[in-house]
Amino acid sequence: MNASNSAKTLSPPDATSALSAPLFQDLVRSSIEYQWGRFAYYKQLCASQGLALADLLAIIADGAYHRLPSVASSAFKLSKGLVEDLSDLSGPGVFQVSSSTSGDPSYVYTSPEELENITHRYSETFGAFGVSLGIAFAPSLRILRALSRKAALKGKKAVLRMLLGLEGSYAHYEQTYVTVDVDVFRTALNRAVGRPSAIRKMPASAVASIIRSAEERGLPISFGGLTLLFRPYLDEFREGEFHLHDKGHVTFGGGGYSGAKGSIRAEKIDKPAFIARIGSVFGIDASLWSTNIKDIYSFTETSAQIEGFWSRDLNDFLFRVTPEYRLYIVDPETEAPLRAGRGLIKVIAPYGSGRPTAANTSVLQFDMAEIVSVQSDGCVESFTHVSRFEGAEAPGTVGCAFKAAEIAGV
Amino acid sequence: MSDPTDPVNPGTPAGPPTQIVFEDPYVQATKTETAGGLELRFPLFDAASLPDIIQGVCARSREVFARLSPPEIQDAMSRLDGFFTDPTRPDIRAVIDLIHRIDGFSRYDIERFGLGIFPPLVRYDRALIGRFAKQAFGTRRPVETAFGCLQRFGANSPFVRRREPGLLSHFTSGNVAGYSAILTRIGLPVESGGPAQIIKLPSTSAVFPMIYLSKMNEFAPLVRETMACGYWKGGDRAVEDIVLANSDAVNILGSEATVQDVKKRAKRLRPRTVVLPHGHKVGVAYISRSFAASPELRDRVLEGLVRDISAFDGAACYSTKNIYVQGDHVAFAESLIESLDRFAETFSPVNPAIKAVGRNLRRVFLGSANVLASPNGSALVRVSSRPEFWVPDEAYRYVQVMPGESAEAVAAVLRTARPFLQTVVAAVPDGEILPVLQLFGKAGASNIHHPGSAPLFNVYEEPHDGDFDFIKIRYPYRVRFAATNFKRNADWMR
Repeated sequence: MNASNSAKTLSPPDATSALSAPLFQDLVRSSIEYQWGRFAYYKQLCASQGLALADLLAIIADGAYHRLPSVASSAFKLSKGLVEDLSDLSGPGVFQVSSSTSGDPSYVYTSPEELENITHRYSETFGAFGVSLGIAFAPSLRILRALSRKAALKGKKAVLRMLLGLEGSYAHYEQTYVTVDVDVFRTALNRAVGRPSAIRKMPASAVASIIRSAEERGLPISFGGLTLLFRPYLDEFREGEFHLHDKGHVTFGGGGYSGAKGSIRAEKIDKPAFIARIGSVFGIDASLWSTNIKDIYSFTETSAQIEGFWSRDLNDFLFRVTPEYRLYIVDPETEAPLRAGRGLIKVIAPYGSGRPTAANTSVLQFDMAEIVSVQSDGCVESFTHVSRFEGAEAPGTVGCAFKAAEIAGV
Repeated sequence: MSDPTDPVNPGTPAGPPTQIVFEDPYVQATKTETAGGLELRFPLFDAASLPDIIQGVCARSREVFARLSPPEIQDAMSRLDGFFTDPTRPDIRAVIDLIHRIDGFSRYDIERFGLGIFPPLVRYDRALIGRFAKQAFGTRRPVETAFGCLQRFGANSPFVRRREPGLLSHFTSGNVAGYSAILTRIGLPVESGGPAQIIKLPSTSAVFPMIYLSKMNEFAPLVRETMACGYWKGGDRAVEDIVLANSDAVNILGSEATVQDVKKRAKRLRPRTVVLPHGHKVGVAYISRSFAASPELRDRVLEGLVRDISAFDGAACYSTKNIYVQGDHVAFAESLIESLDRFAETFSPVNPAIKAVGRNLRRVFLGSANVLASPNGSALVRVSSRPEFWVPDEAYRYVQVMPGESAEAVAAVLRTARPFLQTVVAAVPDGEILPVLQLFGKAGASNIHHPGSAPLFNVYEEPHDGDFDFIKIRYPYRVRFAATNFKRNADWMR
């Protein structure tokens, strides 16, 4: 479960880290123009709002990106049957696939360059400055690669978005441990009798020993990954077990606070209590939570990754928008950008190449968030309290009609 | 129900009701929920008192069923059903308003498709109850019933033995008014005897079963005493294991995962228990050329089909989802979306609680040339150029229209989706009604209905998911049944 990374390949991304406003505008223009030319779906979406390409270019010239029609993120879900309408499979690429918490994964076709950008960005977001040792509470690369292989679609390879996160993490840390891996011996035995693979979880004592060793050597350590895989360990450790102080860093990704992530089901996480428990178990003072404990808000349908550090004032993570994308919080009905309060998240994230392989330059995500600060043009600077938009799906208890998501349970 | 502000009982003090109390003679613990601005108090099963409840209800049902003859019980139940047949009565209006307020379904749907199941039951010739099923067991040919035809599929086994269950438990799901309550009929005596029944409420917002039982308390008080009804959280092992360990028959309604989970536990805890599995389903329609091509006939089909699609916002097992059209399926789809939109505007508005689902689906498909959406998102029609069995991603007024070369070709597609089949709406010439019963019945469908009647199946002569549950709990046979609810098109095109 341990992998040393001797050859770091941290090539700088094409156009991410410090993207100037004019460059951003150029990338949006070329991405939207390309998207217009390649995707009849997007053209019709714009037409339904009475917008021609010239209108889109005028919107971009004005910097009024919130007016760009956006594709609803759930349009990428397999069950919607729009994969080929929203992806341009003519060039090289692979499908990025979501973790399929709903039983209905999203498929987004992505070029090799964009894939590299996303992975590189993960090495930044999952990374912690000056830290070379990481524990990922996540399935191992081989598990995620096997799952990715199974997710291939329409003759194209697929990669789980989670795999990109883990690969980014491996690229950052000199030494990375993962807590869930294949039990090779038991899997071999199982295979012989036609049973599925066996999974081995790292014992809490082994996790404790890695942390204690780092603590003794005065090494900073970062741990993170999936909240639902991390919590059982957190429950097992006692308060005051470790004393990491400013040498302890925590980064979560992929949500899961509702108690569901992929096929994992657990109790809902009470975020403030969870963070307080992390602080007391690992000996990270409350004053350090706003610099050492963070969450990454992201979703498969966009390349944007938004970092948020814990805010004791907000009792939640405070996510800060960076220049490589624009984020708006919009009215759920009208999609007009809000200046305060809660609304749906809309992201404009152009491709670094300006040639999108999926119609996802402008995406509306069915997640609600609360604005903390906003620019004069409606572009959000920071936001918090992210939750699933309740009205996005019919409640499961209404009737006895079958829904595609049930297939996961059949 | 025992509250002075009870909206179901006429003559109660004026003013908005604030609390409604639903009671059960056996279940004393309660749970209170707020829904639609009302405080609802429901009976709550708890593991500690459950053994006594089971013992009590079983003992009482033995006494009651020894005392009452099946015709007496049938008389009382007919009076009870009769209460729900006149939607102009103020007390029935109050029931409809209450369900609408709590569940959000349109009053039209509750009245026509929820309470709409009762008038045919009340009018039904009691001498015929069970007769057609018995005949169908004896022959492979279709049996003519009061309203249609019934056919058996599969071979009878000589090894099936009759039994008389002592306790029947219902694990219900869904808030669809009407059927959610009459499941209690499964346990009522057929010739003699009858089991006690434990009924799990699907949720604390599903008020219709409790309304039905409270009325049963008035019209058939002794029958009411053979049932204990209340809520427990689905999957609560402490409660469910006691119920399952004591049940001779278990009726399970829910997702496939729920059905399999409860079934597995039921078989483990009481190996000889009879399980009645009712998983979620996907409805189908087949429109033959003559009905698709003639403007007059097509209009009649559309008039019915919009009801089959829209009832309870497409969330019921009978809700039509896949529509196979012999002929110009694109033109049919275009007419259908207009009709659905008009129907939602005029008769049956979308439940406000799920309007956002339609809005979001419309957003998703705005860029798609193959999905037609009504302007306000009240309905969506997908158009596919090839026949397939489409599994909906949302339970909504949301269907797929595609070509159906022939009934045989459609049946071949349906066979691939056997576990999801139940209701097939068929618009076919008179001469094809019986062949369609055989084709679709063999494919796995159980109810072949004329357009406009998908939600209205007659429990006295039609199977539920291929079974007559009231027979199966006593005689656990292995065959399946399918039935039509019309004999000729004149039955519904009058």
